[in-house]
Amino acid sequence: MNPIDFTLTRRAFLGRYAGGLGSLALAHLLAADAGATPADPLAPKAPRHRPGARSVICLFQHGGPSQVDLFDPKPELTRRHGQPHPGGLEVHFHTQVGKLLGSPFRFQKCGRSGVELSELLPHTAGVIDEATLVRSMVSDSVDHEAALHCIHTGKTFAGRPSWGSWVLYGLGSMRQDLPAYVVLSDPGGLPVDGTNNWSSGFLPAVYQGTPFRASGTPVANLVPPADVPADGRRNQLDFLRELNSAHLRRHPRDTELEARVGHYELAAKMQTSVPAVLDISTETEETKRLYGLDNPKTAEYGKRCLLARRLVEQGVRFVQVFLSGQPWDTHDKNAARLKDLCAMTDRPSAALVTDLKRRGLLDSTIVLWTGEFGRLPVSQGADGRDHNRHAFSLWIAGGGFRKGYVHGATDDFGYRAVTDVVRAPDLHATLLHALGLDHTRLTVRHEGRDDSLTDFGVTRADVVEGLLVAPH
Amino acid sequence: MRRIVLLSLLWVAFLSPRPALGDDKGHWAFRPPVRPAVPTVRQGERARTAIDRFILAALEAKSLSLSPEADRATLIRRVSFDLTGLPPTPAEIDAFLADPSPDAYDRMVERYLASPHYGERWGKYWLDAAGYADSNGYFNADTDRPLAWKYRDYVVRSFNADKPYDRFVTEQLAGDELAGYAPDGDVTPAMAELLAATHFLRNAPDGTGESDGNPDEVRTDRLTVLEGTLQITMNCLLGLTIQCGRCHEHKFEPIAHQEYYALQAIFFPAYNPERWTKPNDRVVSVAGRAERTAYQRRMELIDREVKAQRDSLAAAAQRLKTSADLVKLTDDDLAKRFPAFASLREDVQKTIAVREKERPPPLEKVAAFVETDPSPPPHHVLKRGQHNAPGAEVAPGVPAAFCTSANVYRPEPKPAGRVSSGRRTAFAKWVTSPENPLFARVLVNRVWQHHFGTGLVSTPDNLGRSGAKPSHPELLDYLATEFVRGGWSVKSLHRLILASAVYRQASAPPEKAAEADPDNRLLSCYPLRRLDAESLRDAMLLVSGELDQRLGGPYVASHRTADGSVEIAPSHDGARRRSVCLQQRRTQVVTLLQLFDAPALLGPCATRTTSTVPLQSLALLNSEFPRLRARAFARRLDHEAGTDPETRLGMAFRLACGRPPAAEELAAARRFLAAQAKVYAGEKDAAERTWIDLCQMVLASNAFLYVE
Repeated sequence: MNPIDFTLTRRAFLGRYAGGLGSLALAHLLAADAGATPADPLAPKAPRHRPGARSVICLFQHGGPSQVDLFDPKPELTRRHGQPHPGGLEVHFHTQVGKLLGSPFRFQKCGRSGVELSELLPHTAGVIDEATLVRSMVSDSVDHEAALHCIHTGKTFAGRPSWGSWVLYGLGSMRQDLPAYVVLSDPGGLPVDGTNNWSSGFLPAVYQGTPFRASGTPVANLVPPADVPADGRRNQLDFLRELNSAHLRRHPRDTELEARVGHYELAAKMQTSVPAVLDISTETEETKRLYGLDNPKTAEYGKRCLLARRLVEQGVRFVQVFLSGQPWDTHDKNAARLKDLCAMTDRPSAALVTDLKRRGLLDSTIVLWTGEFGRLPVSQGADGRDHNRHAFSLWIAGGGFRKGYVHGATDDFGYRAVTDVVRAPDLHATLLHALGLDHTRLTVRHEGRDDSLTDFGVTRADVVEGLLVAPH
Repeated sequence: MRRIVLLSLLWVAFLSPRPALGDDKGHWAFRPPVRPAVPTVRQGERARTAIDRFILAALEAKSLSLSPEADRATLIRRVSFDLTGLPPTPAEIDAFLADPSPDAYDRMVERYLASPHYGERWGKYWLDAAGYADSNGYFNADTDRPLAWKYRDYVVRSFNADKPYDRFVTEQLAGDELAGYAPDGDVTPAMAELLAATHFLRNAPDGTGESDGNPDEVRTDRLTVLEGTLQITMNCLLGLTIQCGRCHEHKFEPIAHQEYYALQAIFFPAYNPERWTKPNDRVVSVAGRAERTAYQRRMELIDREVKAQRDSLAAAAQRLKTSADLVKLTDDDLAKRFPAFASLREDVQKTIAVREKERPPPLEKVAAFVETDPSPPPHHVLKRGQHNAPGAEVAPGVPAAFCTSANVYRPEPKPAGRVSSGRRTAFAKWVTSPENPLFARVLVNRVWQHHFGTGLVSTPDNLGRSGAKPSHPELLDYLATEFVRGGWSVKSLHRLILASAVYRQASAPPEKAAEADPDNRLLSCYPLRRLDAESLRDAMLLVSGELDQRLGGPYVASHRTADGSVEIAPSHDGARRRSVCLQQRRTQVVTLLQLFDAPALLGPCATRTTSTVPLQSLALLNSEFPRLRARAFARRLDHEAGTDPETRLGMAFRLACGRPPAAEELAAARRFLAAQAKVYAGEKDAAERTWIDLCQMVLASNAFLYVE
């Protein structure tokens, strides 16, 4: 499979990729050009303005990575280590609040931009000149699930669509034979809150994420039953097409029926297209090493980062990479666990940025590294840190975001974001903007009103122009 | 930043355009329905019932008309799926086609209305609108609700019995008060039925069994249950979105911030966060007071006796452990070494076994919504909806905009000695009054929706200002008033709708309508509809001859397979039961059903999308379930149609599509049989595999998947 040419028109795309489709399906797909197919909610749609980005990879770091140990140096915190925190604190476990806990890790200026990062992130340091680091993120909850809803859907309660679903709703799919929104979760198990992390909420179910299985066949039902040989399957599909053509003649112009007829052919094609995109044996040894596939510590997460690149390369719109459980939730042994987690994730995360850049894909791909909230500057118990919704850090590379730039700041202890505060809805507005979508116009009628990812009427969310290279 | 948020809240609360309360009767759905005059139409001869005259009036305005009546085979398949969620059997089809009497159609409708499967079909619609699930939701743990199925069975029974709708809803809002439930009183089986009904108020997600974290979070989790319950109640029964009122005056509907909390106060006595009961502890034993006491005494006695036996054995073991190396020994070791201990142990075990057998059978339990606090504290407005910012006290009440002089919320004074406040009985009276402008309209609209795919109001959960405009406002009011006049009988409502020409017309779209009414809102033909998820699965099972028709009982447990999909193991005793009986776990929707748009029920669900995606095709082509059904389907043909291919094909199409194959379908099938025979040539199971392959494609074809 060749990388998709993003400048292809849909008609040309069909010429290239839909060669084997039945004429009915082709007619249907071409009709999508005119935007006249309510039956195909995934038909590609033009962005509202010229975007920098076409695809998204979200490297999700579950549990609440500790900003003061990774991204946000706080000399004052180190200086006053062991003293009580001078102000009030909102905590999750209120019986275990300790004293100020300085980071045991050294920070140094990195890259040409001189952004300060922890010694735990040497590889991220190598690509920081490509990234925007936001140190002033805030969440609405100190509870994991609610905070996950917040970062993924904009609000703390369940049942709203993830922002990946909104992106699909706004832009549609670039490929018919691959899911447009792919979830790569850890073979060790689903992340906390499971499928809610990629739910389409009140948007139609077609916009939800499709989890690729970590082992075995990646997509359910890709392979025909063992007792149906290839030529037998071909006969089945021919028979089915004849049955459906007869049915369609009784209901001419029904786009839903036409779509379904075409989908049987597409389903057969997916049997080869999906495994092909996931076959990493064609990658060079150098690339595999870049992602750390040669090291058991980094190999699993590295493989998912590499797959994310391959998926985006083939026109997948939105990829979410997850870890198992919520590893960054360092309620105890904060320092030791951070060391371990960074040893696992730092190299592959950075490799993804490097690899996208050298393939010319970084400008069209947003890479977002984030958790759901941050951690407190005081200790929990002997050596842990409790949840903190008032400050956390994330980074974004590519897709029209600024390079080597730090946005916002926290107070002296890293407890509270105080300058250029960014809430999840502001972040979402900005991400949609980078994809050519206007968060105030990407709405859907729900419970009697036009709802949106950012619910701007209530949240007053706004695009954070400072994060973008050239505000459109 | 904070100032911006505050300003926006102010804007929403006070400054945004909002109709003055006095105007609210101006919205059509906020005035009680009045029976409209039936319009005169030019093509009166096309009308079978008054419904048709309303439909024709709108069609004629666009120079359109009704389509001709569908043929009988189409009609029986449509009615059967509509009323029972299952296709007609060949015997049912034959009987209807051969019935020459003029009321053949009406009697066919009656047969399906009388089927126990009717309640399963229409009960499931209700359960979706009421947000029913077999799990607690909220947190990812999504813990089990082991007794919720009793509510499901109550709903199914109520639909089958054609319980008057006002009574049905009253039972769900205040069944405990109707039954005269008292926390320490008798609970008879008849009362248990009414208590099961109140589970309606327990359907909201409830994570409070797992709540942890700081006191604010725990309080939030509890208040969320109250909010969810109110949302379901107002949404399902009155078609109102209410959530906006939690934080500020409702921007679209005439519901004041204070009125939102007055509504909450109706349910507050049982959902008071300061006196909380975890969801799975909200159960009532079905027994007389004396029986309950006797049961408890008996259990305690046996507990004591068993403990005494265990203690005596432990004491004997202790006495034997006289040295350091003996101390480490287990009872097994001791028994080997000391025969006297071995025989003592045997005696003790025997005695315990005997005692355990003497335990009385567990008392039947029902999950219910009951009040146990004889003097609940006053509820408060929560400022800006914040759970830790109580404002003024608020008494139970309902929004003034939906009241009339004849229908206001007025709780009876509580008789001395009764625990329950009576707030919900008064609420049920107000909700179910014919004067309530929304109650009947919402139900008739929902019934219409399930017969035609789209409601007369296309937003069945929202008839408020922000909802869709009705396509036929007078027809909606005609149906609503007929419904009340007919004693709130849902089955009579079906009869009324199914007798109409608009329901009985063919589904092939007329050429002219494509321009004038592209979405077919005016119904110039019957709308073609894909089977919903449950019908799809259930129909496959019925066609293959495998449907397990046992009704009711505990749910059939689903599980997540190693590869992440959710299924019922094929070997499970209930694997071939109807979908309504399968476990409805919010985070674990059976994959096949989810693919065909079954909702996860995080909240009430009044409408489903009908998606058309390649993953559905993959499932029908490659997944295990349809393949297993095809196998059984082919075996069924062996038994019932013999060996002649033409007879077998005729049978296959009659079972799956409700009619014999058309000439072109027959030709295609013959070609397939010939081609597939070549593929399997020489193999001893060639014929069997050929027919399995054929049956699978028939079950994947649009003629099966769509109701015409």
